[in-house]
Amino acid sequence: MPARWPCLALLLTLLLGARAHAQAAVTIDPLQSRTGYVATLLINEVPFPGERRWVSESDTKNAMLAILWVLHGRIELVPDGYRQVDLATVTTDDVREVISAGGVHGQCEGFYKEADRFVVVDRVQERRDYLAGIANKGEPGRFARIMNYAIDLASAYDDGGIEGADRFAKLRTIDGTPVTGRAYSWMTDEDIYHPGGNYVRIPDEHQGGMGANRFFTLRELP
Amino acid sequence: MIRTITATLIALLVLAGSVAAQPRPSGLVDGLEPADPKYLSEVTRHLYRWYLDENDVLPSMKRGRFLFWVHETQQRLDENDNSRFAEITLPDIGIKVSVKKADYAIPELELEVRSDAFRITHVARIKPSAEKPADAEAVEIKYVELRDYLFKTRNQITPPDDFVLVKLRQAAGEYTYRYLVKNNLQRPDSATIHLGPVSPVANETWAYWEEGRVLYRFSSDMPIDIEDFWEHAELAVDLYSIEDQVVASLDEVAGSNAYLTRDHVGRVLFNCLVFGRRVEVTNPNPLDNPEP
Repeated sequence: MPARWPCLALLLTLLLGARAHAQAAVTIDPLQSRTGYVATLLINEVPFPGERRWVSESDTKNAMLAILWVLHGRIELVPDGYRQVDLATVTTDDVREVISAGGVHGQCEGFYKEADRFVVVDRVQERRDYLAGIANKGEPGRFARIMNYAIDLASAYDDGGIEGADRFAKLRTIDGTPVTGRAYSWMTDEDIYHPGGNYVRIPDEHQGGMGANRFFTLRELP
Repeated sequence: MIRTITATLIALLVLAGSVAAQPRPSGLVDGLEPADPKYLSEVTRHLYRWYLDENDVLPSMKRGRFLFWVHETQQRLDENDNSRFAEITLPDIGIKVSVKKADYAIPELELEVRSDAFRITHVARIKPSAEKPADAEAVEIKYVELRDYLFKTRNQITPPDDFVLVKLRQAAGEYTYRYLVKNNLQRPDSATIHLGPVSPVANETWAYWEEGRVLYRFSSDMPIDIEDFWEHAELAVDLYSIEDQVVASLDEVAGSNAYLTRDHVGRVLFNCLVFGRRVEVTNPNPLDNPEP
C-alpha cells in the first residue's frame, strides 16, 4: 500500500499540472464589474506588439498606469478651482461612470452606458477577446503580461489603491504656464486631437507621450 | 473612430491560401539611414502629400534651403528588440517626424516584425526652433532642388502591387460587409472602393468606400506591403463615416478621438480618388467571394 502513495502523488501532480496548464493565462472579469470595465478600458487604449506605435512592454504598461491615474484624478483629485463635472462631465464616485461619460464618442471612445448598464461597442469586445486569445495561446508571453498588468491594476484600484506612482503629480509648469500637476485627460497622440478648454498638453520632455497616447494636465486657475 | 481588429481577416486569409513569406522590398528607401538626403526627400514627399500647405514651405523658400535635424533616439526596448528609432525635425517649418525601423519578434504569433526601411510613426507640429539639439545631425537640401523633385513627382505614386491590391481589396470588402451588417443596412450587389497609394516611408494607407461614404485607414507597426503582414499580422483598421465623423474644427468635439477635420478628409479623398485604384467588389462579403 505505501508504495502507491508516490504514484498517487505523481498522478495528483500531473492532474493539477494539466489543470493549471489548461487554465487560461488571462481571465478578465465580466464587463459589468468595476474591475472588468476598467481592465477592458486599459487594454483597449494601448498598443500591443505589432500594432501601430508599439514601442515596448514598459511603454504600454506606463500608459495604462497613467490612464488609471487620470480616472482616479477625475474622481478624487479635482484641483482647486475646478469641479468634478468640469473634468468628467459627471458627478460620481463610480469609476465606470467616469469612463462611460459623454456617451459612445466621449472621452473613452466606445465605452458608454445603455439602460443603466455599462457597455462597450462590438469592436472593443472583439479586440479584447482577440488579444486574450493570443495571450492564452501557448506559453504566456508579452500579451499575457500586459493584459494581466491591466487586470491587476483594475483589481488593486477596486481594493482602494493604485500600484504605481503618478509620474505627473509634481508637474507645476509647462513652457512657463502654471499647471495643476497630474494628468486629467489623454487622447490618441496625434496633433489634431486636443481636449480643449484649460487642458495643457504635456510635452515629450515631461514624458507626456506614452503608449500612443498624449496626456494633458490642467492650467492652474488664479 | 470605429476601430476594428481583423480576427476574421486572419481566418479569411488562411482560407484564401497561404503565400510564401518573402519580403516585398519597397525599393526607394530600403537600407537608407534617416540622414540620407534621398531618404529625407521621400519623407518630405510624404509630408508634401499629407501635411504641408503652401504657407509651410515659405520659410524654406526664403532661406533657399530645406533644413533637417536628424538624430537617432534611444528607447527602452524589450529584450531582443533591435528596432531603431529616429527623429527628423524640419525647424524652419515646425514639424517633427518620428521614424522607426522595426526589428523584433512576436512569439505568440510566430511572427518577425522587420522593416527594411525606417517608416514614419508620427508627425507632430512643433514650435520652430533656432537651436539644433546637440546630438542631431544637420542636413540641408537646396530649396530649388527639393522643390523640383516634389513638383516632378507630385503625381507619382507607389501603387499597391498586385499582391497588396488583392489583400486591400479583400479587407475593404470585409469591412464594408461588416459595416452593413452592424448598421442593419441592405447588402448591395457591389461596392465601389478607392484604394489609396502605399508610401515607401509609412506603414499606412487609406481606402474610400464610395456608396457608403466611409473611410478606412489601414495601419500597423510593420510594412503593409510585405507578405508576412497579410499572412499573420493583426491588422488594425479605423473606420470613419463621412456623414457622422467629420467636422470643420475638432474644437467642436473637444475630447473625442472619433472625428476627422474636413481638411484632413479632403486630403484623404484626394489621394484615394485621384491617386488611388478604383475597384468594384461585386459581393462585399469576402467569405462568400474571397478572390477578386
